Amino acid sequence: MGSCSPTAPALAELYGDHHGWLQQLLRQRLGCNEAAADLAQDAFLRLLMRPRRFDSFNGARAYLSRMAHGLCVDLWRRQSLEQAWRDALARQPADTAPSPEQGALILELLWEVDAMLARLPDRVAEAFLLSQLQGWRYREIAAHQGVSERSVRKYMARAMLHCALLEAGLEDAPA
Amino acid sequence: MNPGTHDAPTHAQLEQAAEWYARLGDGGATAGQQSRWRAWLEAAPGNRRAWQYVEQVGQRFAGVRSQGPAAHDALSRARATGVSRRRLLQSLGLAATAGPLAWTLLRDRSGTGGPAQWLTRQTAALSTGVGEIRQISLEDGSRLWLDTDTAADLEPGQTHRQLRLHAGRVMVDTGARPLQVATTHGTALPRGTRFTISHDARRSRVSVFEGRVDLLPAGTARPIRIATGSALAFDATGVGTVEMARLADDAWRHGQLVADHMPLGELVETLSRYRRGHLGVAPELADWPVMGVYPLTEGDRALHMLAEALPLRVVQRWPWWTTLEARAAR
Repeated sequence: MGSCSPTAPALAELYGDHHGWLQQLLRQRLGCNEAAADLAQDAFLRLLMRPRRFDSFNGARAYLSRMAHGLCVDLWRRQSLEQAWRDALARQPADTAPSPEQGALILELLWEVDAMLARLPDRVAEAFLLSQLQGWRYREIAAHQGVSERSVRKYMARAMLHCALLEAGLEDAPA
Repeated sequence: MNPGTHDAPTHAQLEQAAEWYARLGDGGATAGQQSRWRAWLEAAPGNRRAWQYVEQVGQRFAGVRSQGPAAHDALSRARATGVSRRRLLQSLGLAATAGPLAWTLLRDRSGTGGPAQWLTRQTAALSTGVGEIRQISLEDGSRLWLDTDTAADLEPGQTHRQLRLHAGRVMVDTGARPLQVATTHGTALPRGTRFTISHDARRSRVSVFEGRVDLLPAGTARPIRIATGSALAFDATGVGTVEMARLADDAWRHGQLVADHMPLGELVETLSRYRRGHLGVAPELADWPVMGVYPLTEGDRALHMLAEALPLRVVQRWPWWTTLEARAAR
């Protein structure tokens, strides 16, 4: 903390150069000042966590605008997950509803899992969820998807490898 | 610390771990498969680390699964309506550390833990691990039993000694000098006594088997007397009503779970405190009344006894994931 971080000045500079622009860009996309301010903040937080240098002003803007797009997609997806979760809860008996704090934690978990599986093909993700969350046997999944058990096993290995790579930090998010 | 501990496993090792997961994940692994898996696990430190990541992924999903069908429902629907398949994953970088923590919090809904208590447990002088029951004799002849996953510190005093119970459960058989036990919810002052006191994040509970205990709830000045054969739960806001002490509150120190018309759900919840990973019961089975004496610390033996006595089966999909389900085929 106290030591001089070589990236700190660079980030301050980036912030000065691009923060206003980025927030404006986000506001256009989201139509909401508050969300735009949050996401812009997020973007710079990410740069702080994973510093990166840009060789030009435009290079930085190109990167930030890709990141802004990603953040918006994130936000929308998160909102749709929240909505789906609320809908699913509404179909449950009221007395099983989690407390607000618990609900927030559960949502966070759902979000992480959803993000983990996001880049997998639908069939692979579906098979993995059926196995992990519903306890379906491979042959049941195979019958459901109209594929062989061997394929299901391959899906499982693929999904697990993907998740484990993310878990181990060996695979990175595309920027 | 071993410098190798933080080395990430190689891609190839993770690939093998994922292969093993896929091979064993459908249940019904043969003994041969299991021993080959173990051999692989032991073959290289990186293999073990790779497997740890597989387990971590499993735990994440176990956390979701324990939320019941609504969670799966929400995930599939959100995916189906997906905003974009090309969702960016940067958020995961930030969320990664929150994950296991969130899982811990959810898992500890029973109130037995949480990160703060976890930390206390690591530093307490007297502690037991999950599934461990320990007896300790003090120099004055007092005896202490520590139940599973318990943490306490002995604080010497001039006129009396005090045991600070951070989490878990102890039984005290008082010797020559009184040993009072304090939790965040209050202090139990024994009067020639054998008693049990348990403490979790929500409440504490005292059961008295010999003599009596004067209980001083936190923030009060007047003690409440608990007589032989009685039990009382209390928390930061007050005390409950006096109940009868249960045999189960005494038998645990012998490693026994005494069920006298205990709902299966409660029994499973109790057993789960003595083992790592998830132990659950299908909701339709949770109300079944169970009679009998079951071993608390002998791994799966209690589960097999249950499977013999009741029309249920033990489904162990993963080392960390066991459920009791109705025996009828799905």
